[in-house]
Amino acid sequence: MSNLNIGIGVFVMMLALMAIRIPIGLSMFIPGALGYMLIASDTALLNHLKGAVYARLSVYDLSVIPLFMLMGAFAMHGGLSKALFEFSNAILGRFKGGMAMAGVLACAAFGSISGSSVATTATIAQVAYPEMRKLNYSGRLATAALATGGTMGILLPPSVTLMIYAIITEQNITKMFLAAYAPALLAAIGYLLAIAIYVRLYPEHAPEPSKPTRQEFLRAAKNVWPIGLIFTLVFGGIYGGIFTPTEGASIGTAMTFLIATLRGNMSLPILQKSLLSTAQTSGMIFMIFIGADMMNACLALSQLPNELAGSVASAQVSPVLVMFSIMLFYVILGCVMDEMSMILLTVPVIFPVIIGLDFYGLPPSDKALWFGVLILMVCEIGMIFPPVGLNVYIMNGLAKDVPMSETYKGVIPFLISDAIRMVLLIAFPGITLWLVHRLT
Amino acid sequence: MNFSYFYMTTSNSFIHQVIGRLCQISASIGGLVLVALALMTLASVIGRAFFSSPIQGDIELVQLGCAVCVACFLPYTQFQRANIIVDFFTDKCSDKTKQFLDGFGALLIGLCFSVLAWRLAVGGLINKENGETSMLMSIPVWIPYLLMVPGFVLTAIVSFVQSIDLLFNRSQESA
Repeated sequence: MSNLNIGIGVFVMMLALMAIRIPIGLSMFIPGALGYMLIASDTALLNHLKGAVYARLSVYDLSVIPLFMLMGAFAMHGGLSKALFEFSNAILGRFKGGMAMAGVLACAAFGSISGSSVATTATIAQVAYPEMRKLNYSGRLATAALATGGTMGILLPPSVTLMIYAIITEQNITKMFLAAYAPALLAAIGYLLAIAIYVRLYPEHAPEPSKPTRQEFLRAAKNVWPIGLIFTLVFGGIYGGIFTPTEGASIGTAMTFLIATLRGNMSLPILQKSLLSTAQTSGMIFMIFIGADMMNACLALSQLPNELAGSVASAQVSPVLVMFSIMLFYVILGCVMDEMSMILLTVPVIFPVIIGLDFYGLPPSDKALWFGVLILMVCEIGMIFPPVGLNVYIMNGLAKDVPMSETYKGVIPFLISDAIRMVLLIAFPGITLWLVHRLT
Repeated sequence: MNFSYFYMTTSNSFIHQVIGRLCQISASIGGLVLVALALMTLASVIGRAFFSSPIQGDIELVQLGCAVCVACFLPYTQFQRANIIVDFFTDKCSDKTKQFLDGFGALLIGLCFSVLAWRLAVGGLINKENGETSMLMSIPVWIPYLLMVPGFVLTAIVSFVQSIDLLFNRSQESA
C-alpha cells in the first residue's frame, strides 16, 4: 500500500468513527496513530507519542485560549451586558426595529471582549430578549436577531476559533485579529440593514419606535465605560505592539475580575463556576487539538496534503472558483459538524492548497489571513444554518415560547446579508487586509 | 454536533463521588495554575513598564504552565462528557444504540489516554536521565512532563468507569 493510499484510508476511517459518535478528537487520534504506525513503524509511533503531547501543549501562544476564555467568563458575570444593551438601545431605539438592531450592536460589543459566539448570544439575549418581547417584537425577529448577532463573536477578536486558526497555520495572532475587524464591521452593517429592510417589508414584526430621551442616553453611557476601557487597554496594547496577546489576555482577565468584584457580582461560588467552565471548554478544545496533532503528523508523513495541493494547482481551474467551491464545501460540512473541529480537521489539508494557488497575486502571508477570515465567516454561517445551528439552539433554550422553525425563518434575511458579504470579501481581499497593512 | 449535557450525578455510588470530586479538584488546580500564570504575566508587564525589569523567563513559565494546566482540565471535561461528538448520523437511532456507542467511545478514550499517560511518563523519565532543561531558566523538563501524567491517568480512569456505566448499566442515561 502506498503512503498516499494510507493517507486516504486514514481519512475515511476518521469519518467513519465520527459517524458513530466517537468523540472528534479521538476520531482523529486513532486513525492518525494507526496510519503513522503503517507508514513509519510501531517504535516510531511510540517515540513520537513520548514527546508529542508536551510539545503540542507547551506553546506560548496557546495560553491565550484559556486566558481569554476566563476573561469572557468573568465578563459574563460582570453585569456588563445590561449596560451594553441599554446603551445600544439609546442610540438605535429611534428607528423602527431599533431594539433588534440594538441587540445586534450589543452582541458586537460583547463579542469584542468575549471569545465565544455561544456565550455572546446567551449573555446578551438574557437581557435583550425579555425587553423585546415586552415591546411586542415578534418572536421570529427577536430570536433571529440575537442568534445572528452572537455569531460575530466567532469573528471578532478575541475569538477562540480565530486564535486556533492562527496557531495551526502559524500566523501572527495580532495580524489575524486586525484582519477580522473590517469583515466584522461589514457584518454588523449588513445585519442592521437586514433588520431595517425586513421591518419595512413586514411591519407587523416590530412595534413603532419611540425616541429615547437624552437622560436615558447619558445614564446608559455612564454604565458602559468599563467595556470601552477593557477593550482599549487590552487590544490597544496588543495592536500597539506594547504587549503580546498572552499579556493582553492576562491584563483583561484581571480587569474583568476587578470590575465584577467592584460591582458586587463576584463571589467564591461564581469564581469557581468561572474556573470550571473554563476548564471544561478548554479541555474540550485541547482534546481535539491532541487528536488533530496526531492526524497531522500522519498526514504529513503520507504527503497527502502536498499531493493534493500540487494536483489542484496544476488543474487549470480558476482559483476564485476553487475558493467558492471550498466555501460551499465548508457550509455543507458545517451542517453535520462542529465549527471548531471543522477547522482543526480540514485546515491542515486545505491550507496548503490555498497557499499553492494564485489569488490576485497576494503574498502567502496575506493569503493566509484572508483565507482565515473567509473560513471564520463560514463558521459564523454554520452557527445559524439549519439543520443544526448552535446559536439557534441556545436561543431556543432561552426563548421557550418561540418554536425553532420560527427562528430559522427569521434568520433568512441575515443569511442573505452574509452571502453578499462573502462574495464581497472573496472578490476584494483588500477589505480584509487594509487594516493589517495600515497598522503593522 | 451538540455537546452532550449528561452529567453523572444520576449514580451516586462511592466510587463515582470520589472520581467526581477528584476531577473537580484537578480542574480547580488547573484553574489556579492559569490564574497564577495570568498574575505572573501581569507582574512581568508592570515590571517591564515601570521598573524596566520584567520577570526573567516568564515566557518559559507560561509554556510549561500551560501544558500542565491543560492536562489538569482534561479529566473534568471527560467527566462532564463535554467532548464534541457528531450526532447527525445517529440522530434516528434508539437511545439504547446511542448509549452503546457512547460507551464504546468512552472505552476507546480510556485506552488512548492510558497509552498517552504511559508515553508521557516514559518521556519524562528519559528527559530526567538526559538532564534536559529549559533554555533560559534551566528548569528540568521532566518536571512538567510528570506533572501532566496524573491528569491523563485520571482521564483514563473516568473514561473506563463511564464506559462500564454506559455499556452494562442500561438505566443510566434514562434516569
